[in-house]
Amino acid sequence: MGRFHRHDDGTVHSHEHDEPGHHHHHEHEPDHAHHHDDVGDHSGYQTGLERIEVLEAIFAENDHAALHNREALDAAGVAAVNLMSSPGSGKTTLLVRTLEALAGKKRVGIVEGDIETALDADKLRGLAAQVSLLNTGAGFGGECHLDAPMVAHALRKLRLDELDLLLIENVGNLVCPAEFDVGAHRRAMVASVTEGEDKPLKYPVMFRTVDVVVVNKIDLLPYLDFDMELFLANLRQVNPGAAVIQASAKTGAGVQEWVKWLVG
Amino acid sequence: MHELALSRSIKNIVTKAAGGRKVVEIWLDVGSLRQVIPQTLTHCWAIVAQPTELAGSQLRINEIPAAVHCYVCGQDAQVDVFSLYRCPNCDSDRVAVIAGEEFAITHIEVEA
Repeated sequence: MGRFHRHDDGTVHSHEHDEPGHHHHHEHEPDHAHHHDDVGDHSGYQTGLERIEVLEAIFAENDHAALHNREALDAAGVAAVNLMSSPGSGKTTLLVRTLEALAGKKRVGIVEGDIETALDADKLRGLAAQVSLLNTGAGFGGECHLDAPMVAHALRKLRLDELDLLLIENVGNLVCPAEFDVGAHRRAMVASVTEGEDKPLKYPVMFRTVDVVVVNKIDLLPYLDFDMELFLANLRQVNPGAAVIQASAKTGAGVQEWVKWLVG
Repeated sequence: MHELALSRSIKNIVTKAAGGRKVVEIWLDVGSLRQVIPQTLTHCWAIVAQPTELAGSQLRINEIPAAVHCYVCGQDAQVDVFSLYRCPNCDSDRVAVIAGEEFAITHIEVEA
């Protein structure tokens, strides 16, 4: 059990780690022990209580399901992208443009996460090879994000062998979706210029998890005070490695570059 | 507001670890980068635990601040969640996050 020692009298100690500056990823190190000044050893701190070590990442169950999703996708040769954004960023319109651009070239499946409606799925049906709708409001407790077990459920409704690319449209939200690995290979987000330059700094956890940021609605720039350089500087501060694609799903600007990233 | 979903994961892990014994306290490490609001998690936990054998058990949350290691000055420092990727000592941006991403159940207290 890593740094834990269990003694003959049943007491347990954890040791402080002493290498300064080493890189931790605790959720991937279930046997990694912490030292808690206020926790310490509880054996005998209150009569009738007994301590059981657990040391299990709370995302372990989700991450396990995500791994299975990725294995199923790999086995079928499908590349999957988790697409996230705030509500109203133009994510669905971008998907429509994407499907139009890839028509006849790639077989694209869509997993559509929507809290209550089939509105987005209806827009995409007919363009995509296959659409699997997940109404997160029904049966999943009105979740604000997709998690790996939900996506596993959606994958079972798709014929993966008949797809090349799977786009998982997450629930519009800049907080919760960032926390859940759904089993996609890459993560993308759409941030529109109407949302303001400060969003990377306000939602750093979301912005730092993605591989690409599509800055959408650039056709509106003449009417806005949006400072692109400031937005890009803010983005680089939280995620220096993210690719950036300036686009307008409405005019089609940048869509080819985005499609190139998707199939690349 | 994914605390409800997280509470369900906690329930599954704790139920398995407790092996049928009465759980009194559940100790968690929660890093400040995890976007979990402790009060909300505690509230959701009460709702999720209520109809189960874990009803009445208490979450004890050990909040862990975010910290970075700086490759330029070599120091480790606590940082604000919103000023990650910048060393507070030398202002370098060559830093790695070394704490704040924890989200685990460390141990539980059960009735003997």
